[in-house]
Order: sequence, then structure tokens, then C-alpha cells
Amino acid sequence: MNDQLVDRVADIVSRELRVPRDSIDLSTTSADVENWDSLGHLQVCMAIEGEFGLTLELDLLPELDSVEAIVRHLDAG
Amino acid sequence: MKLLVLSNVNVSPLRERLSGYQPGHNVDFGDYGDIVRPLVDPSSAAYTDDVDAVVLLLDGPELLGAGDLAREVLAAIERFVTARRDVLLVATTVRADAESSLTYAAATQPGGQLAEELAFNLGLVELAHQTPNVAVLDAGLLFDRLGLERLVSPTFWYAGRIRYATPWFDECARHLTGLLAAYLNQARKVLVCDLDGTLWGGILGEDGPGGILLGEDGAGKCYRDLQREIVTLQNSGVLLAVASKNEPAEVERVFADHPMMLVRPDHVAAWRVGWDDKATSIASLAAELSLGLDSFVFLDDNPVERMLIAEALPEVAVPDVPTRPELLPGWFVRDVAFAYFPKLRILESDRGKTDQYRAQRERAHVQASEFDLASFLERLDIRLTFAVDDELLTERTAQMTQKTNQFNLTVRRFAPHEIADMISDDRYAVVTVRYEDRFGDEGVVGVAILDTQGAEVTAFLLSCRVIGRNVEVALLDEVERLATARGLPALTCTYVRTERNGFVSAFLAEHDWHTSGASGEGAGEGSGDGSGMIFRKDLA
Repeated sequence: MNDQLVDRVADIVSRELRVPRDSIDLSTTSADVENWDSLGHLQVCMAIEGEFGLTLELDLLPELDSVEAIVRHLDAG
Repeated sequence: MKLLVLSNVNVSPLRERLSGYQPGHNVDFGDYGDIVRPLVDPSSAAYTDDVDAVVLLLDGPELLGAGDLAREVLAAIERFVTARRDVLLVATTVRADAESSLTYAAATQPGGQLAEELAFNLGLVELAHQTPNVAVLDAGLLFDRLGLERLVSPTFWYAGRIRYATPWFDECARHLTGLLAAYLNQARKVLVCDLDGTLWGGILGEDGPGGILLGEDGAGKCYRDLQREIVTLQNSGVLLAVASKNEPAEVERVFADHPMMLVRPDHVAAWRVGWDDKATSIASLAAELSLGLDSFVFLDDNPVERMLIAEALPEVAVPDVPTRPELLPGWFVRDVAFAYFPKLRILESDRGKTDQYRAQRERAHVQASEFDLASFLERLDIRLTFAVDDELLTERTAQMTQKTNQFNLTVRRFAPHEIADMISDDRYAVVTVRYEDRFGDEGVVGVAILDTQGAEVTAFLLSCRVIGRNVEVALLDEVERLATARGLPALTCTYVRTERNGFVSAFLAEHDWHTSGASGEGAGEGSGDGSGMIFRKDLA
């Protein structure tokens, strides 16, 4: 797993959901973070689009529900 | 400042961005889609006392082609701004989706989206013309630079009714922040321009007046177009100053004679052309114009000069100037005008700003060669005109109570609607004084508000441009005369000391007012200790 990528994703999740950075790591899932609700999820995904300059597909959004899932998607892309 | 954001689509990504730009602003969001009810229902959040501004972000495709919705929204806006004159309402204009399956017929279709778009936008703009508490955020500012191709986000539209991608929200937050800064009178006031490489291309001292790049062709046109924008800004009430290391005579020649110059000597409120370092020049400009350095923006193509100012005078804004001349005009509009000089509307008093400051300097010149104040004032040929409860002066009066810091006894700030209320209420007399002399017309320069029921002077202030010419004495006489005419036996006035109005502390005492105690708390500006000293005068 690309540590640098994990850090960038965790930074985004922490910032978008307004939760402390040290509470977010590779194992964090949407179930662990109260603010990671449906609206929070959209904001995380939009920020990922913006920061990595890519376009996410509608069908994919529900799968990106953890730091690890996001990192794997970015790594594969 | 508390904002309420309403939209017919999901704009939640704006929340973090707005707080990032303006940490002091407290932002609430209505439920998306719910835009008419909050504006017309007096029990909604928009009608609570602590809301300062309501922002209406309107999505065109959702608003238009939905029966009467666009007309209802316009009527709701009108109703809200009439009921809440103390709240700023910001509304975006709307864009119809030009790409319809009706193809070209969409534009010719009676009652089609294009016709609806034009009707809505015109209605909004006309409402803003008539209503001071309506501001318009033109949709073009949010879309045109970035382009729809980059902004439209079908993924997030279908996932959660978020129409646009993140850059749109960045743009939106940036413009809302600028617009609110304009509303709060936080815009800067002075643009200081370097000349060589900034106002024209090339170096005057080397290329000569005929050799500088300035014209209607090639790179010369870049500078001419930049000058056009600078003149537009100057016409809106911004003061223009020149700071240049050059021979003054050469510079004068270019400004007077170069046929392609659009910035003319009349546009310039103050000059620093010579060989002083620019930090000294700008500091002395601040003294000459009686304005704080935090009102200044400095443009210079030379990064060394910019660094010097940024280090020596950190309050001065020093934007990076593009090295490519073709980028100058667009950059100036976006990164200088919008960034530092945002304005919601141009008042008549803004147009003559430079003339007023220039006349000010000529007066100062006369003052320096005179020893006798009385004869100086006589030579100025001052004419004062007082007005009581003149509703045409409502905006200017409110603006003066907002902006005047130095000669301001009570330091109470009033919004236009509060002034309007006092003007129409017999209990109050809102007195303004207009000043003219042989150098020009300064317009309204002083305001006093008399509360006849409380027998109190609740506001007394004077523009710093006319301090020292006995205007304050005449204004005080006028207030006392009015109070006597209304049968008041005595008057009080609470002087509130701040960091900037200390020099007027003796003014009332010098005119036979006596201290009669201290008030518990003043109108607390936060900049001074906020405590008040009560003065009293018997009029009998």
C-alpha cells in the first residue's frame, strides 16, 4: 500500500468530515466516523475528484466507503 | 456576521469553504429545495433577529421551466427585502440550460426557458436598483471563467443533487466573501501604481516618452487596456496614487502629452515621483491622504520593489503582477479589483472622491502659507448648507456613521433603514451639513442626530476632510438651535473614547458643555475602552 497516498486520502477525509486527523488511518470506514453520512460521503468523493483530477463514476461511489477502498481505487487508476 | 444560505440544489460543499475564507462568519444552510417558504414565512430562520444576510443560490435548470416557480421566487425575494430592510439579500442571476432537445427552437419557444431566464434576471436586477439591501451575484461570475465543461458534474448531480464540481464552490465562496466584505465596508481605498513596466511597457528614462509601449497595437494595447480598467476603478471611488522612480518632468510630460494615456493627471489623487524608496513614498502618501496603510494596494512589476513593500509595510496589499503583458487587464479585474476593491453599488459621492482629495491638498497648500486661521477660513470662502430629515441623504448619512472614526463623538453606527426610520419619526432630527468652498463641493461632511424625547445628541460626527475649519462648531450650533426651537431646556451627549477619536475629547468642553458623569458602558467599538463620558449643556 502506498503510504503517501494513504496520507493524502486520510487528510482529505479528516478535512472534509471535520474530524481529527489522528483519528483517521487506513482501517477507517464510513461506519467509524459519525460525520461520514451520505452528505459527508459526497463531499469526500468530490474532494477526491478535485484533488486527484479525475472523474468518479456514479456506480462506484457506494463502494468508496473506507480509506482503504479509496486508496485501492486511486492506486488502480 | 450570520449568513443563511438557501438553494434549490444541494450546496453543502460551500459550508467548509465559506468558513475557510471568513472564519468570523457563522453560516447556516436551509434545506435544499426549500427557497420560497423561508422568504415569506415570518416564523422561518430567515426572519430571526440574528441573521445579517440571506444568500440565495439559484440553479437555473431547476428554477426555470417549472411553472410559476421563477415568478414566485422573485415575488418572495421582494417580500422578504421589504419586510427585512436590515438584512442583506444576495441572489444569483440564473442561467437556463441552452442545451435542450428542442435544439434551436428552445430560444424561440414562447414562455421557454430562455424567455423565463431573461424575465427573472431583469426582475432581479430592477429590484436591486430600487432596493438598497439587495445584492446581485451574476451567474456569469460563477461559470464563465471556469466553463461548464469543467464544472458540470453528472455523478454528483445524480448521487445527491450537487450540480457542480468543487471549482464552482471555490469560485462561489470567493465571490460571496468579496461581496460581504463590500457590504461591511472592508474594501481598500487606494491603488498605488508604479509606472515603468506597470502602467506602460518599457522604461521612460531609457526609451523616452516616444519609446514607451502604450497604444492600440500589440503589447502597447495590453497596457492601454490595463489603464482603462484602472480608470474604471478610479471612477468608482477608489483613489489612485503614483509611486515611481523617475524624473518628475518626464512623467509630467507623458501624463500631459502622450496621446495614448488613458490615466490622466486628473485621475491621480497624489504623486510620489522621484528617487525616494517606495516604502517612504507610500508611508507619506498615507499621511497625505489621511488614510491607514491597510487601505492601500501597491502594483509594481518589479518583484524587488514588491518584496520591499511587503516587508517594510506589511499592512499594504502587494499582489503579484503577471510578467506577461497580455495577462495584465484580465488579472487586474479579477485579482485586484474584485480581490481588494469590491463594491455593491456606486453612490454619487463615490464619483467625486479624487476631486475632493485634490481640493483637500490645495487647501493644505493655502494653509501652509498662512498663519492666521480666521483669514485662511475666510479665503476658503466656505458655504455650509444644513438639512434636517432629508430622506434623499439616507444612504450617505448611514455611510458616514459607518465609516467615520476620527471626529465621531458617540461612535454609534446606523444602517440605512435605521436612519430612514429616524428621518420619518418626529422624535428625531437627523441633521446633515453640506460643505462647499472655492476649491470644490465636498458634499455631506457632517451628521448629527438629535433625540428630542431623550434630549440627547445621539450622533455627532464630521468627515476628517474638513476638520479644523469650524464646521463642527457650526453643526453644534445648529443642533443647539434646533433643540431650543423644540423647547428643550438642556441637552446631553455621551462621548465614547476609542483608539482613534481621542483628539475630539475636548471639543464639547470647549463649547460650554459640562461633564455630568460617566456612563456604565458605551457603544463599545472594541477598539477603545468603550466607556462613555456624559456631557450636558443648559440651553436656557
